[in-house]
Amino acid sequence: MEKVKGAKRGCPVKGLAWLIVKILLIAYAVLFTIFYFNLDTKLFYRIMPILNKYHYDVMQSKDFAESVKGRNQ
Amino acid sequence: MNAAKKIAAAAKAVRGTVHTAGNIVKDFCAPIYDGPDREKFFSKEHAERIIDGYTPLVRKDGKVSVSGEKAKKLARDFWCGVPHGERRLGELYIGDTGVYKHREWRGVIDTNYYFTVWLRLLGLIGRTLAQGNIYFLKGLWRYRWMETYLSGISWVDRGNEGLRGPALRASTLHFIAMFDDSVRQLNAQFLADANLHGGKRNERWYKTLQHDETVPGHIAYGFPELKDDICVQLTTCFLQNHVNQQTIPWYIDAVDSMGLPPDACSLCAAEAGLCVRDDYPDFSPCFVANNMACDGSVGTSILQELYFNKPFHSFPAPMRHDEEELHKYTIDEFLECIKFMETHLNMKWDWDTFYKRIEKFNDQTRFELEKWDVAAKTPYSPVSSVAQALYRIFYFYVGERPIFHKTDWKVKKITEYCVRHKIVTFPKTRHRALVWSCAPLYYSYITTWLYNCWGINVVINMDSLMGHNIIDTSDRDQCLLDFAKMYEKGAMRTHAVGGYQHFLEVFDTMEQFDCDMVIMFDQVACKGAQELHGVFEDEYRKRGIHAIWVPHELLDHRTVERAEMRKVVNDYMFTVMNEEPLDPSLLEIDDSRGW
Repeated sequence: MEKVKGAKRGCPVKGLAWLIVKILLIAYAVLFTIFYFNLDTKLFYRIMPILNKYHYDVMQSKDFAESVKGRNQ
Repeated sequence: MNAAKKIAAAAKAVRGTVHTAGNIVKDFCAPIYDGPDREKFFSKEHAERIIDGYTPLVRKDGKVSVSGEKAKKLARDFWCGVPHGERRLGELYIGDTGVYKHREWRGVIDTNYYFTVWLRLLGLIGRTLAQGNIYFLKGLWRYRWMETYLSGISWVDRGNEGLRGPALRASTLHFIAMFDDSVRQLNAQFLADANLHGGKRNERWYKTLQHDETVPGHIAYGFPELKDDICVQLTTCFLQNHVNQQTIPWYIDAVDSMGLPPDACSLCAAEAGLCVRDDYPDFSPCFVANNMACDGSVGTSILQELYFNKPFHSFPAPMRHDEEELHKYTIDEFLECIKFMETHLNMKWDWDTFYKRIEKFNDQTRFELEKWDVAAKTPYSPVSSVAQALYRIFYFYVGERPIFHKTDWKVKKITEYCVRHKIVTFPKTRHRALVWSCAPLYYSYITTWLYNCWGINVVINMDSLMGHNIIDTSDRDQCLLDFAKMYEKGAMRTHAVGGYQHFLEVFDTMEQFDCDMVIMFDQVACKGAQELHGVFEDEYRKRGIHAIWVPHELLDHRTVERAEMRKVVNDYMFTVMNEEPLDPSLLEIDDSRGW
């Protein structure tokens, strides 16, 4: 009986292959959805103003006029 | 009948799934665009109009209709994509954001091909991060211009809008090459950047050469020990504006606020603005600049010399490049430049390495000439105008690199295939156009719009025609002379300087490339080009040539918006040419807040 049960499970290589195919299909479906509905661009379009407002706009940089004073003379 | 019902039910299920997915996307997009036309782009009527374009597979009375022209069209549009002339690409945009609601469906094969391109672009960034290069992320945090590259894939989307088949393949290959090399340049400069290493200068810093974006990478070919050479303004300023029009004005305003007149060239202003905002990386012990493309750039170089505060050398090129005796001057300057680099990089110049890499660059030039030949004499050239123009200027200055050889080889195969099988790659061409004068960087893909909307196929542009002589490496003197000739004819030099007759070569070029129309870019801040405006108008009128004057301000989209440029073309095509657009949805699109 045990042997019959094992036979029903099928070849482990086939099972593994089928698992890989399923994973690839799911990965394809997920990535294609992100690609087709342009979700990557939409995400970055929302992130950039936040980056500007809370990071780049408040960054300190050196005073250009002050830093070059006296150079090249 | 049962099978037909099953097909109908399956189609209904698919349609339902697509609508559900659409609603999710709609919710996701909602905060992006809150303008007055928002409802227009998400309205029920809009969705129904698209759906009504096809006969439903299940009629309202419950009967199944699988035959009929519209069902066939549905299948054909799904498999091959909507043909040019029936497309409504303008409806893909969300309000004034310039962001696509969804990417274009180009048919099963082409959409999946473009999907692999998208994966490859993501992979390029992923590869960098997977290599453990945290300096890439540090660079994003330190330099404001780096955020531009978050929109890099969108730039590729816009440049390849509407393309199919071999044209899609050849053009995207060019974009991938530019993307790939940009990532290389960013990596190279960040790995050596003292700003990202707490002010410490590492080994790479001493072995990296920094040069102006108008100094070609050829000057570094003779240093085999050099880690890399980087055009410092290429990724920080020039390419940035191609990718995203919104980020440059911050730099222009910075230098304007220090007293620079606002009517100065915005390219020079932006480069100077990067100094004012202290946003250049520090990755090299010395800096080589030149006097190209114009006097404005000379002013910027002076400012940059002050800012970088490191050994500086200018490698100028004479403007009168027709005069034979001046080539000697360029050669002397080049030899001086080699001495300067040897001193400050602490390396020895090797002529053999120089010749080898020049030979490789010659291969690139030879293929460029082949591409021009196909574009000039046949309708089978698969490379879109924007891909051709950007790739040409990009590799001319970056120099010889493996990725460009690989790309050229692949594009050559595609071109040969198109020529052999007589594939007309831009079949809706109504006019073959030549682009003259400098193009707007913030709307370099206007040529894609010209073809999609009006069927104006831009065959070649002025800047691509810069130095393209083959350099003879069999003899040192001859090699130096050929190199000097090529160098003197850099971007905006071949035709824009050295006498007005160069600028008027437009008529010969039109004949060579069999063009019947000119797109004259009118850079409103370029005083040099404006002086000849009247002469051009008179000549075009006298010769009966259709010339559309398109104003722009190179890097600053606030002066002349993209919509204004399109309006000028629309007006000309309606009133003078008396033509109807191929895609009316593209006539008036608002992308003022777009990248």
